[in-house]
Amino acid sequence: MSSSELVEGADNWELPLEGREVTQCCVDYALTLILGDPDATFSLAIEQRFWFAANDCDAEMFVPEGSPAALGPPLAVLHQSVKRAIAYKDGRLELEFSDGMRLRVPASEKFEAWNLVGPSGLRLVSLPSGGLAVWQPDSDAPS
Amino acid sequence: MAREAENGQGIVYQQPGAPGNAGSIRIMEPTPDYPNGYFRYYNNEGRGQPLEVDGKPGSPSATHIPEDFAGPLQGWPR
Repeated sequence: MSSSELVEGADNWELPLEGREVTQCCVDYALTLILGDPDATFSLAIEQRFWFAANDCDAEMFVPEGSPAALGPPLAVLHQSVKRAIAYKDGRLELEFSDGMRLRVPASEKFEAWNLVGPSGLRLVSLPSGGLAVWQPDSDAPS
Repeated sequence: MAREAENGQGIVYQQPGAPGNAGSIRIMEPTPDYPNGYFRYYNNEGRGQPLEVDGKPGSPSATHIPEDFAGPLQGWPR
């Protein structure tokens, strides 16, 4: 996939992550997934509680600013490709990976639950108390 | 370089060519918990970590800074 364009639906944005591989997982107070390649790199920072399910397993909840050791299972997305990535206009995020793993981030009441930054100034932020702030890619912006 | 969100929810200032959130400050519109708005600013480590007012990377509760914060802001300008 080469496009970095967002595709708007009635209640969501389809994110341009389909087919992109998770090349790094970074942990600080957030879990940040780096996706793509040097020509089109995306970083997805998850800062609030989220649910992760591996294959047919039930989803479990994880808290990025909790114990780093507890974040082991979601790191299984490293080297996996995204099958589908949807950001809902109420601030939720859903990712499905090619091998069936799923990651879901609800909006947070008090804080930004997640943000995505991509090429050419693409940026989405899940707002405190719900909603999204959206910066579309700008052809004049540096990649 | 400044860019405003297309739905008017915020504005981001970032060094041209900086990756991810690195070297940026993002000022956001009011929300119920931040009636005057809030801002977040990021260091230049990797793709950027959000900073507390003392310039250190911090938790979400410490890195969502109310817009009426009077300062000083140790980590900005970078």
